[in-house]
Amino acid sequence: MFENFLTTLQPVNLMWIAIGSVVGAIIGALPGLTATMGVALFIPLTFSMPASTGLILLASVYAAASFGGNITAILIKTPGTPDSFFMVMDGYPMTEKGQGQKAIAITTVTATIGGLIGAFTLLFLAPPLAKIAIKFGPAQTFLTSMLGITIIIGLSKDVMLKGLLSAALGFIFATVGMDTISGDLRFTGGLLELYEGVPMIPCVIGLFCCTQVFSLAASRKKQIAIPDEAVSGKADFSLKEFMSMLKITLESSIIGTIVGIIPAAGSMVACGLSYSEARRQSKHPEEFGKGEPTGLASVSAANNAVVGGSLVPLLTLGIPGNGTAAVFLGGLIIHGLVPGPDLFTQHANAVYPLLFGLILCQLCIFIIGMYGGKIFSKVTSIPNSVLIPLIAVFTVLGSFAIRRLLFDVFLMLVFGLVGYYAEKSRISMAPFVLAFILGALVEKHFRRALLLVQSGNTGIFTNPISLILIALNIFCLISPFLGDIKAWLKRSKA
Amino acid sequence: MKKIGVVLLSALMLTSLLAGCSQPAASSQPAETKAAETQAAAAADAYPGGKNIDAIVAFAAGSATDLNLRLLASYLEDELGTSVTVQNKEGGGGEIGWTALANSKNDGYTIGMLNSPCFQLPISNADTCKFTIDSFIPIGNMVTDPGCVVVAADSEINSLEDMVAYAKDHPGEITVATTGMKTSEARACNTLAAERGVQFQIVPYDGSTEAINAVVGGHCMVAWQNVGDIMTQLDQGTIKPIAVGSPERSEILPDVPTFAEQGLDFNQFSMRTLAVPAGTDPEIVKTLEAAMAKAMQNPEFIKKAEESNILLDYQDSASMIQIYKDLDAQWRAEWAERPWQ
Repeated sequence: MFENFLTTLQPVNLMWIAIGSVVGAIIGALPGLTATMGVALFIPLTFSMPASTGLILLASVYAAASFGGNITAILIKTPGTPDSFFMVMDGYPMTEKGQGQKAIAITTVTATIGGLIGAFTLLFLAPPLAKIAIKFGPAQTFLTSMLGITIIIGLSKDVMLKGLLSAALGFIFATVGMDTISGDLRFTGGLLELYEGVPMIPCVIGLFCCTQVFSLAASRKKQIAIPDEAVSGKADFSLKEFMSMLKITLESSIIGTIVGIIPAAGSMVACGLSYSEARRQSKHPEEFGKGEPTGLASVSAANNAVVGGSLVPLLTLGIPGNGTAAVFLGGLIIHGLVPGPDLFTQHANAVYPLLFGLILCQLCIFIIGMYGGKIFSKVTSIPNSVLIPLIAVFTVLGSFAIRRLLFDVFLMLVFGLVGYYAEKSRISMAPFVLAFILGALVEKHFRRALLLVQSGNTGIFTNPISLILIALNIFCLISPFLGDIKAWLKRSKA
Repeated sequence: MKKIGVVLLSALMLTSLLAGCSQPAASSQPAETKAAETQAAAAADAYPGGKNIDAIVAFAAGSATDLNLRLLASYLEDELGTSVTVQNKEGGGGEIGWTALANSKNDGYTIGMLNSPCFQLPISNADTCKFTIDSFIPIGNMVTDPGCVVVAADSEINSLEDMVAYAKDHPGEITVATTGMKTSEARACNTLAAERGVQFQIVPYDGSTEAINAVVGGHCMVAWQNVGDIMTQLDQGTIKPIAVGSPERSEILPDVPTFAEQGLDFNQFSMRTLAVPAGTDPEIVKTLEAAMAKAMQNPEFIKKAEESNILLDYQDSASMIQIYKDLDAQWRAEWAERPWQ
């Protein structure tokens, strides 16, 4: 084990960790360039490297790209990847209050903690956890994804009608495209470009980044916000405040790791669950969505913990937990590493350096975030006359880059307009995105589970794992209302 | 300081703009190409002349076809002395990418990967599909992957016959994991069910790994996939193959009988073929064919492919033209007899 750690510490490997982390963070930060794309682009570069070096590079790109999206999401409300749209909810309001640098510090620290917990879990517990992961069939995956959907209720609690309207639209859009179960086309209007559904990335770029272009242009403000830190000269993130978030950060990291391990659930579910948990525990839940640091801490930790978690089923079973992990799998196979329980024994000299590399990469992320935070946060004082065209160009590029179809650019623009008018009418688009992304997932797993029930497997919803998940679902559904119920009980007693 | 940052960003932006825009310009206006043919002939001598070649793949980055093409592309680069850039044009079950290849400029600077089931589209969706086998010139075949039926290692099912017998005793209880309701695997499964008068419950999954793990995890009884997809779990000893879909037994699974040997008259395999749009200069096709043939003989390439469980099967341009003609005729006959949609 120590020998493998030394392999990781070879200068060439350290160099690639640094390069992978920096490039990964940039890829993650640019709208439309996702972690998935970043890993795919780097795979050919690893052909000529030894397996350990190549995999260290890919893992660094993967981890750093998942983090990079946070920076732009927080500072300019343009989530670089769909997963980082959660960072917008509390991060951007903080920036608007002039606490951009603090928000970056929070997301960096908590993401590093999340990433480390995910990576250490992978290092020590992968093989036994894999045995649990494979027990997750369609029914259990359905119930896990449902947990992500229940958070919509919490998000919309104060504006229930508008929240549900937004979510309903999301579910409707999720039905477009080829029905994966029957293979039939639904609501495509004969458009070839919609055969595989409304493309997710142009949709998210439109709803967030393009909308931001319109609202910035309409706001007539000179810049987003002059950071307080620029005035006072330091980030206002004290140790005391960090300690107050530590519990939530650790809990969210564990949630992220566990959800990452469950195949086909992913970062969206992990962030949603952590966010609603953080909000449930908070003394002032009404602050969530208005710039609450704890909310930002919970989603940042969960999002980065998913990386380590998703590599557990990938390395031990060959099951990719999400799109990026699927591409990573290709990278493993190209280096002759066939995933499976034997991977950790037969190819220890490649796998352990990869795991240590993932841990060191978290430190790189920490350095990028902490030292770069000062520079990044200046972006909010760039005059809007410069920033708006910049974002506009990247929204067009980002939506075009995925499939290289002009159709996607127009789609992005349409979503941008929809998002802008929704924002003006104070309809949050967060329930829309959650419903849009998770709706397709939930439908697919549910119908697959029904096919199994149809063939006589009636036990899949009543086995212990399913029953626990059903109980969790019910809890998540009613937990936002627990406070109201208590208050109501008190009142009726009095 | 601020100024430098802004300038740097704008520069980055402009370069990416250029990279983005050069693409559609190169792949549009197939109509103009006829007029340019004479010029193209003159240019053929200098081909590829260090100019970048785009290689279209109709599936997402990281998919099996994408990884195949990326591996081949890196060796083609050495043979052609120029860069070969893989472009993912995914969507529509591959139709978007294949249509893009068919419509791209036939000057040899756009090549692409065809997956043999793509030629079922012009038959089943004749009114909407915008290409046929005549829209392409195959350069050569890279991979042939036969269909493969697997069950859990401890399953009592050992052959297609066992599957049928079990289904007779327990109607509708056999669950078969496929990658879709209308894929060639599902068609093979439905043909078996129809011929023996039994019922299987097909459960479509998103990818082959997911489908095979459904069998490993005990969620489905059978997975109907391709040989290239099963090797990982086969090495683990968690699954056993019971039938392969190629006309002859597969070289890497010599003990597994074919569909035909088990009384199912149905061939199921997928070929991945490098191709250029129709009308490409024959000299250019020859240059590409020679480069591909050499790349596929490279021992380093062969080793990499074997490690990645890629079932190489090189066939030259002429034989691929014939193979696709035969497949087309066969599928048209099948369609006339029993449409698969």
